Formats: sequence, C-alpha cells, structure tokens
Amino acid sequence: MKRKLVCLFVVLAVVLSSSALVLAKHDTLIVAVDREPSSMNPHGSNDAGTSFVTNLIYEGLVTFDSDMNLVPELATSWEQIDDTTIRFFLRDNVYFHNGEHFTAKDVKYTFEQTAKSAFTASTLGMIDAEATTVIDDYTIDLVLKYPFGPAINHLAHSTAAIVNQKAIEEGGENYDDNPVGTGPFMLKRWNSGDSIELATFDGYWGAKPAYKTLVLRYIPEATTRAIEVETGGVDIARAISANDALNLADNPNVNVISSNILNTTYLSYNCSKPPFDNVKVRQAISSAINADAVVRNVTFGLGERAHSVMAPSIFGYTAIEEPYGYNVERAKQLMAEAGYADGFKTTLVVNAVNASTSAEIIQNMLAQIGIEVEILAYDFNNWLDTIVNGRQDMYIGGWTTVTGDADYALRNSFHTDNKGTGGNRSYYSNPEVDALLEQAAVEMNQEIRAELYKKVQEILAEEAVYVNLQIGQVHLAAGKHVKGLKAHPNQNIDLWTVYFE
Amino acid sequence: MFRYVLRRILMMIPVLLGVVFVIFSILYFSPGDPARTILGVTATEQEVEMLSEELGLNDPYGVQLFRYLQNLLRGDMGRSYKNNKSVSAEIMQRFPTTLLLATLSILFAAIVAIIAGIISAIRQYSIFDNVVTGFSLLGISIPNFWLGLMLIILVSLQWRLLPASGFYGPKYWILPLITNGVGYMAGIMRITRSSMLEVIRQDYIRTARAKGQREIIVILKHALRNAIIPIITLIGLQFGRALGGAVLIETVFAIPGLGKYLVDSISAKDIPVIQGGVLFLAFLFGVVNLGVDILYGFFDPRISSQYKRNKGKAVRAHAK
Amino acid sequence: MQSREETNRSRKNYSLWLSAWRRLRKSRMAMFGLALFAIICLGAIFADVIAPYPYDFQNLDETFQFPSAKHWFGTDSVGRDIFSRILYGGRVSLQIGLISVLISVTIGGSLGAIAGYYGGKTDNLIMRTLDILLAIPAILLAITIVTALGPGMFNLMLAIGVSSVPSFARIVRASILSVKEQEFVEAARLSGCNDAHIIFSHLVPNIMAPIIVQVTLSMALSILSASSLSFIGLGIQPPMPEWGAMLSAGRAYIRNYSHIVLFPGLAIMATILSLNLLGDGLRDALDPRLKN
Repeated sequence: MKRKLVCLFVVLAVVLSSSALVLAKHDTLIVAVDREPSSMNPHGSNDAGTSFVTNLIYEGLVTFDSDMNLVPELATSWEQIDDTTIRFFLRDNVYFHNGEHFTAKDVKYTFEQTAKSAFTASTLGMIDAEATTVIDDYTIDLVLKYPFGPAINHLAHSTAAIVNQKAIEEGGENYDDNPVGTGPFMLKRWNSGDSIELATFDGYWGAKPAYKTLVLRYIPEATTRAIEVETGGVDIARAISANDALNLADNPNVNVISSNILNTTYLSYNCSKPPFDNVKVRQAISSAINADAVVRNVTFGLGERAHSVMAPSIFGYTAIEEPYGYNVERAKQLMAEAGYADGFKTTLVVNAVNASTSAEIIQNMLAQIGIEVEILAYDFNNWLDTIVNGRQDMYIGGWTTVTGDADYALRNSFHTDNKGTGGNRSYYSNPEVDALLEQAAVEMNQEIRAELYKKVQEILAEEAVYVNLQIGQVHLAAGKHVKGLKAHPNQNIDLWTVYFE
Repeated sequence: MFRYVLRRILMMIPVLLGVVFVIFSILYFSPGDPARTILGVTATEQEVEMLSEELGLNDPYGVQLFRYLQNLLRGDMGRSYKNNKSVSAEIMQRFPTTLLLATLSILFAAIVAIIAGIISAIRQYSIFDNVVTGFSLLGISIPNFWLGLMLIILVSLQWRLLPASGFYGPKYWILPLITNGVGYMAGIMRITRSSMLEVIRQDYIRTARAKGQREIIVILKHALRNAIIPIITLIGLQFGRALGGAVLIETVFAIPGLGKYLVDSISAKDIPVIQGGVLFLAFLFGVVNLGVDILYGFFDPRISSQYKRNKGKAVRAHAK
Repeated sequence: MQSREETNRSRKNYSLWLSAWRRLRKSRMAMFGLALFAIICLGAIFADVIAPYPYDFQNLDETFQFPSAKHWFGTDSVGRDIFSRILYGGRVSLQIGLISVLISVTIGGSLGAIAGYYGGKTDNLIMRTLDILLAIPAILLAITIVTALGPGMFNLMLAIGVSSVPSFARIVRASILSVKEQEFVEAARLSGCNDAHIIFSHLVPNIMAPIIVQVTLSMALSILSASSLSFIGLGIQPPMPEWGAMLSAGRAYIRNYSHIVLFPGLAIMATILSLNLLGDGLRDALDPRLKN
C-alpha cells in the first residue's frame, strides 16, 4: 500500500510539473514572440517589444487600422476647434480592468503623465496638458502648445494609450504587476524572460476575442520559433527569418504573412565631413551601388526596395524616380568631376547584428569605383553612440516612423536643428528643406502638407543624402487552423481578431 | 572546521568588492550611453537627458560607485535600466532555472563520463579507450548551438518526440541537458581516466586483488575512492561554470536562465544588471569552491586535518 | 655566468627533451593531433597559394551553392567560396590563439613566478588580485572588455588573453614553489645572481613542461572563446573570415543550407581536437614520474 502511494505521488509530481502549458487547445492562443516588453506601462517605454503588449491591454483615443488609416477607438469623433484645440467626443460605455468607468478625466491625467516621461516627452510634447480642459464626462478639449499638423497621428501611437489614475498611483513601483487599461486583454502573469499570460477582459466594450487565454512565449531564436509553429507548439510565430518564410511557403499546414513595416534601411554619410560634403561624391556612390541586388540578397528575394527615405504606408510618402540609380559609368564620371578619380579610403559603421551582409556587398561594389571601405561592425550600443556623435564617415541606418506621418520621418532626420542627437544622423543641412519641414509641421491642411513633403523628398533624392535600401519587412507564420490574422505596419498584431477553425 | 569555513567566507568579501570595482570601472569608462540605448534610435536629446537624470547617470564616477556600494550593503542591487525591475528579484527568478539546467547537465555528464573513464582506464589503449576519448573530445569542440538545433530538428520536428523549446517540465529538460552536458563530458572523462590510471598502478590495489577481492569491488571501493579527488575538483569547477549559465543553449531552447539575461544586459549596457549578475556569479563561484574543498575533507582525512592545522591555508594540491 | 654545473644541466636538459620527444612519438593519439594541427597550420600559412578564390570575392548570382567541383565547400550568402574562407579563417584563429596565449603566458607567468618566488605578502596580494579576475566568468569578462574597448582583432586577443592570466599564474606559481628549494637555486644565489636573473634564467627553464602543456590547452580555449565572441558579434570585423563569425552568419540557414555551418564547425572541432590531443600527449610525455 505504501509502495502504491509513493508511486502515485511520484506520478503526480511528474505530471504536475509538466502541466504548465497544457491548456485546453482552443481556449488558448499561443504566440511566439522575439522581444520582451520593457514595461507594462505604455509611457514607460517606447520600444516595439513593449508596444506589442500594451497594444493588447490599452487603447488610445484613436488608432491605426491595418492599412494605416486613422480610426476612432476611445474617441467616437473629433473636430478641430481652432489651430491648437481639438475637441474629442468620447465613448460612454468603456470600463477599465479595475472596474472604473472611463471618462474625460482619464484623458487629461494621461497627458499629464506623458509630459513627465522620458519616453514620450517628444512624441507627445506638443500637448499642453495643463490647458487641456474637461468639458464634461465624455467631452474633452485637447490643447496643443503650437499648431501641429500630424497631431492626430501621434495620438494613435501606442505611447498615447489612456491609463487609469487610481491604478497608476496605487501601483507605484509595482504597477507592472497589475497594469490597468481598457483593452480586450488583462495581464494575468508576467514570467520574466519566459512568457506573458493574458486573459480576455469580460467587461470589454468592443467585440470580445474568440478565446479565453493568450500566452506570449518569448523565444529568441528565429529558427526555433519557426519550428514551434510547424510542430504545433505555438499557434503563431512573429518575425521568422526570410529563409524560413520561403521554406514554410510550401508547407500546407502553415500560413505565412509577409508585411512591410514603417521602417526603411539606408546607407548614409556624415554630410558635414569631407568628402561626403561634396554632393557629387554622394551621387557617385548612389550610382555605384546596385541597391536592388543588395535588397534582393539580404531579404532572400522577399523584400521590397525603398523608393524614398521613408516607407510607403506613411502619410506624405512619395515614390521618387531615382535620379542616381545604378550606373557604374556615371559613378566613375561623377567621382572624376568631384576630384576623386583615384578614389579614397573611408569607413562604414554598421550594426553588426543586422547590417553586416549589406555592408559587405556595398564594400565590394564601391571597390569598383576606387573607394576602399573599411567595415566597422559594432554592437547596437556603440553603433548608436558613434552616429549620434557624428564620428562616422558612412553608416547604414534605419528609421521607424512610429507615428505613420512624414513629419516624424523627415523633420527629425533632416532638419538642421536636429543634427546628431536630435535624429539627423547624416548631419545634413539645407535651409530650403528646413523651411519646408517647418511649414509642413504647423500646416493643418493635409493636402498642402503632402505637397510640401513631396518637394522635400525630391530634394533629398537629388542631393543623394541616402542610398535607399529595403523597406522593413516582418514575416508571420501561423498554423492553418488560425484565422482572422492581420499584420500591421506598426509591428503590432491585433490578436483579438484571431479565431480558430 | 567551522573556523576554516568562516575564514574562507570572510576572505571572499574583499574579492567580491574587487569584482564590483573592476566591473563598474570597465563599464563606466566604456563608450555608449545607457539612456540612449534604452530610448532607441529615434530618441531626442531632451528625452535622453530626462532619462539620464532619472537613472542618476550624470553623477560623477565616485558618487555612482559609492551609491551602488551603499545600496548593496542594504541588500539592494538596484533596478534594471531596461525594464525597471529589481535586479535581485530578476536574478532570483532566473537562478532556479539555471541551477536546474546546470545540475542536470553536470549529473548527466558526470555519470556518463565517470563510467566511460573507468572503463577506459581499465582497458587502456583498447579500441573502446580510443573511441571514447575521441567522442568526448568531439563533445567539447562541437558548437553547442549547432548540436542543439540539430537535436531540435531531428527529435522535435522529424520525430515529434519532444518539445522544441521551453523548460516547463521533464520532457522539456531532455534536449537542453544533453546539449549542455556533452560539453562537460570530455574533461571529466579524461581526468577520471588519468586519475584511475595512476591509482590502479599502486600497490594497495595489487594487494586487494591478491587478497581475492572481486574486481568490481576493487575498482569501485578501492580505486575510485582514492582517485575521486581530482575528479571532484573538476566537477566542482565545471559546476561553477555551468551556473554562469549557458547563453547559446538558453537562446536556442528559449530557457529563461541567467546566462542569456546577463549577456543581453551587457550589450544593452544595463549596468545594474551586469554588476548584480557578475557579483552573484562570483559569490556562487566562491561558494562552490568552498563546497568542493569541504568535500575533499570527507574523502581524504589527510586534507581535513590540514584545514584544522594550517588555520585555513590549505594548499589544494590537485587544483587544475 | 655559466658555471660548470649549469653547462652540465643544459646538456642534461637537452637529453631530457629528446627522451620526452621519443615518448611523445609512442602515443598514436598525440601524433595524430600533431599531424592534424600541422595540416591546419600549413593550410593557414599557405592560404594564398592553396585557396582557389580570394576570401572576399562575392558573386551574388551564385549564393548558397552546395559543395561541388567548382566550390569544394559550397558558397555562402553572398556567393563567396567557403573553402577559401576556411583557409583564411585559419589564419585568424591561429593568430588569435597564439597571441592571446602569449599575452597570458607573459603576464600570468611573470606574476606567478614572482608570487611563487617571493612568497609571503607578495604572493598573497598577487593571488588575491587574480582571484578577482578568476571569480568573474571568463566569457563575461571577455565580453565586457570587448564592449568597453570596441571590437577588432587586437582587442579580442587582449580580452581573451587577460581572462586566461589567472590559470597561467597559478600553474607557474605551483611549479616555482616545487622547484625553488632545489640546490642549484641556492648555488646561483650564493654566486651573486640577482632575483630577476634567478627567476628567469634558472627557475623558468626548469618548469617549462607544465607551461607547454597549458599553452596547447589554452590555445584551444582561446580559439573557442574567439569563436564564441565573434558568434555574439563582438570580434572580427567583416569581411575577414573567422570561423565563429561564419557559424553565426550561417545560423539562420541551418535547415536547408547546413553546409554553411558544417564546415566552420568542423574546422573549429578539428583545431580544438588536435590541440587537446597534442596537449594530453605532451602531458604524458613530459611527466617526470613516468620517466622510467
């Protein structure tokens, strides 16, 4: 009898310890992710790993749909009262996860918070939280410090999500254990380094998800993520490699969704340092690089070439016909005109993790016109430090326009005032471009803004400030039993639309 | 004995302080701005300034070091720059996982390697000996991430026998412990073999055999017992190393352990985490060494008497 | 200051080396290791002659080719010949192994010799300081140093060299301790030699055996560490081939283009294997207890 009890004990122990992830199959959605959030507070971090999760827990006044159109979320409509005031009419049937009713007071509180956070101070810096007035429970006048064309776009970003005052104040330093939002999911548990468990929120005002539990498993290795989808260990895998995307295309049990994101990669320079201050040199380099071949190689043929300094789904984007595309003869000629017929030696700084191959191909191509490139493959830290402080000659960089608006894409990257630390890592300075950017920032008519941005992109192309490489791309893999999955250009996934077949 | 242990623990303190100082200094003077790294590519100067202030990064070297030491004495290792979680809590959360993986891997490696080593020693220069030596050397030179991925592809994907990632229960442990353990087998096997070879030649073994003892008793009770000290030394050292975590294994198998956590924090310049992690590992290393020395005492009365005699300055004759 | 005893001693040393070599020749494993290592070295040294292609010659139309007559080990993601890159990569790895070990031996050996010779407080101070280095996991120490100094071959060698200093110091110290009480040391001191001369001209030559063994084993470790560091992205700058970096680059393609990962892995394995076999053989051959 004792023996049997011991056996039973052992069996139970073994079974219980393996039970962690054995949940009812269609009540749970398991997603393999490549990044962990840094915070459960939307104002506590601005990285993509965090917004992926806060997108599930919180909501903002407005949001983007998968085509990057602005649609209402917590606000039902809005109207421009004057140049610096926007009146928002809010939903009246929304509740927070802690039972509190959502009202205009929460909106005002939220923007008082964002003004104080290092992660949102500039993207939401145009908001004057003090002057913002609560008209009634469901109406609020948002006041800006200055006229700002892309204001609504900034409000759709995940860092503008609405938080609950009571929860933030009571949570204090441990807020991340119990975040409170208005979104379709609530946090059940964050097993740091391993997984995040979320439960659907019964009091959600919108359409509730088709399942009860959502588990986000953090699996850092891309190959492992793909394998887990194939074996059925997870339902969806985010960010599988291009190579695996190609492999899985033939797999009848798996669907692959490839989507472009709000990011482009480019080769650029420190335009204030010779010889890159000479526009002919830049134009020569543009002409010497077969950017299509580079993109084709590093994205396994799945990626798209960027035809401007920002991604297509961004408001204000114009596809520019390249004035200095691949033409080795012209490249040599321009080098001669610039006075460098014999070439020169220089360095190329890249982020070792994702740009080494591009750098090597480019190095090879530039050798054809006499430019000897030494590659400096740094880790993210050092690379960023180098270009922020202008120590680079050439560099490969990328920019993600999280707000989906050209102002964020262009003004930070090309305005003279933003040189170096402000975001203008190419140290490019052109008063004509500056004027256009400033004008477009305060212009409230979106059509006029689009025209101004078109002009800017044309000038940048003519001045060959960037050699545009690929548009950022993310591949999602899902088992064929998973339906309703849509990928967003902002890298979030609206997992509440997913259902099982 | 107690005094010996106490003395050893006290001697660890200046070493640990030294570790804090060395790591802190290296990190402080290296390029890169933690605040900017956290805020990312698109951060503005204003944002970087705000975060730097919040994290206390603008204070001079001495102030920052002193503040860190002060907090340390109160048991506070600070908060991660990246996700603001308590460093000690994060380390404590991951440590059991690393401990489990390390223990399983070393157990696996030790059992297989000691048996193979003993047989190799008995049958020196035989085919078994050569093959086993070859295999174990293969084990340390094979890139372990390659082995891990190959095992996943074969066992999880092709044969659907075991899960591909995670560390949630016994069936999740198998592939990682094999991949990790293989790297430790070679050393243990070789030292078992050479230690046994030395012992087998001794007179007292011949005496035991002459007395008519069964061979297996001779080997296990007499030979192994006397050969065990260098083997334990090595296992102890390797266990200490294994506790440092196995970055690549943790990455490939998605195991939330200490290794990957620390390596990631180094690239992110998450200084509190790096310092806390290295300090913790240094402490563990000291504890494991102490444990091994005490274990010696159990196996070899000559050594334990030394501890009592020399007041703590025992010379570890078999070290390395 | 060559006394007659010293001349006799050098002659005796020479015959000792000869008998050690004879013992080494007897072990098949050690000879195999030596031969394998020699092949790898030759491949690296004569890479310019042997390699069919330059290591950075790209061909974007011939990427991911499997091994064939044209490319013995196939091509990588930008169409470079892997066989050539392995040969040149050998140069990098061997250089790193050699120089980092040189750094360790010089610094660690000197510290160990001084500690062992003088004993007492000096010994304590040196060994406790080295304990600090030893307490930090080697790979983390190396990563921290490289992160601080920036990537590149020299910094890599420095970082790896520094992390091996404590083991050399320990070994040298232990050997010095066992040798320093011998008579010839006393004789040298009486003839008026100063400390430095005693240490470096008299003691060190007599403890070469364990040092040599540790050198081969340390080289293996250094090459492995360099691969690991390059694997994480802190190390050799592209397009210079380094076996660990090649492994890292090929990681994502392991399922359908496994040859990209196979050959650098085999190269690393072969090098480590040969060095370990050689080191083991040397240890057996030079062990004074087995002299008879």
